[in-house]
Amino acid sequence: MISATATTPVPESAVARPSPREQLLAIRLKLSELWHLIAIHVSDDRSTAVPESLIREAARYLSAHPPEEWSLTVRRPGPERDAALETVAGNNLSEEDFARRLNDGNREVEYARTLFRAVADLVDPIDPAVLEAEARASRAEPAGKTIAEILAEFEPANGG
Amino acid sequence: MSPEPFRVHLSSAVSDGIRAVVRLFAALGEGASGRADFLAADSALRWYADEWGESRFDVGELGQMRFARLGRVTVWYAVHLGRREVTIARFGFVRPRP
Repeated sequence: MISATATTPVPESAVARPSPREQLLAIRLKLSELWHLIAIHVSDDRSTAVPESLIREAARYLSAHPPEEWSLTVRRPGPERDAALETVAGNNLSEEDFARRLNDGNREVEYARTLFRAVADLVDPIDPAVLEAEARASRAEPAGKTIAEILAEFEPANGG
Repeated sequence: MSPEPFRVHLSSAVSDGIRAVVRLFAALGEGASGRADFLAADSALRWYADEWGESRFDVGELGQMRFARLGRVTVWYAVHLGRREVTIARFGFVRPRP
């Protein structure tokens, strides 16, 4: 008699592995989730430190997924892919270093924002519509300063 | 007769982005070289924006969207050759490998 609850073992070779596209989508989803958690947290109060648990989760996740792998599948070679890749690869994404930089006062916001944008650029190609909107904003809402004038704010003589 | 420089347009959001990247360079102990890269990028935008970097797509009356990098500074910008105007979309940065 055969038990009604018996199951037939499934050969390991028959288990479907995620396709590169599925893996990419999973990475995008995870990074998006982490970034939104950080963004929500820091937008409430810029002086509040990012929770240690979130930092460690982000660090573990990024450490486990070498950016070199992502870029090969999602971006054609070019300077912007190389720039994003260098930004991410140039950061030592050990848990300790990631946590140290993110916990460095208000710099955590800029560091997280810049790093995650670089990661997003690798796994989620630039949206032309977003770039166009950003450019149109430069015509609609002029800053009133030149690049040189903005940089001059940081000269030591000007208190920078 | 030398050509006219390109007129560069940037929004408050772009200028805040420049400040954020400069502060980031400063936090890494590379404030002076980071500002030097920005100044060199500014010069490239004003004098040869139509040849710098690589073209990507058209953005209507704003011209052609391009991406360029100078040192550790990256920039997405639209350039209109006829009006000799540059419109910045965003700046970014490349952190050197340790």
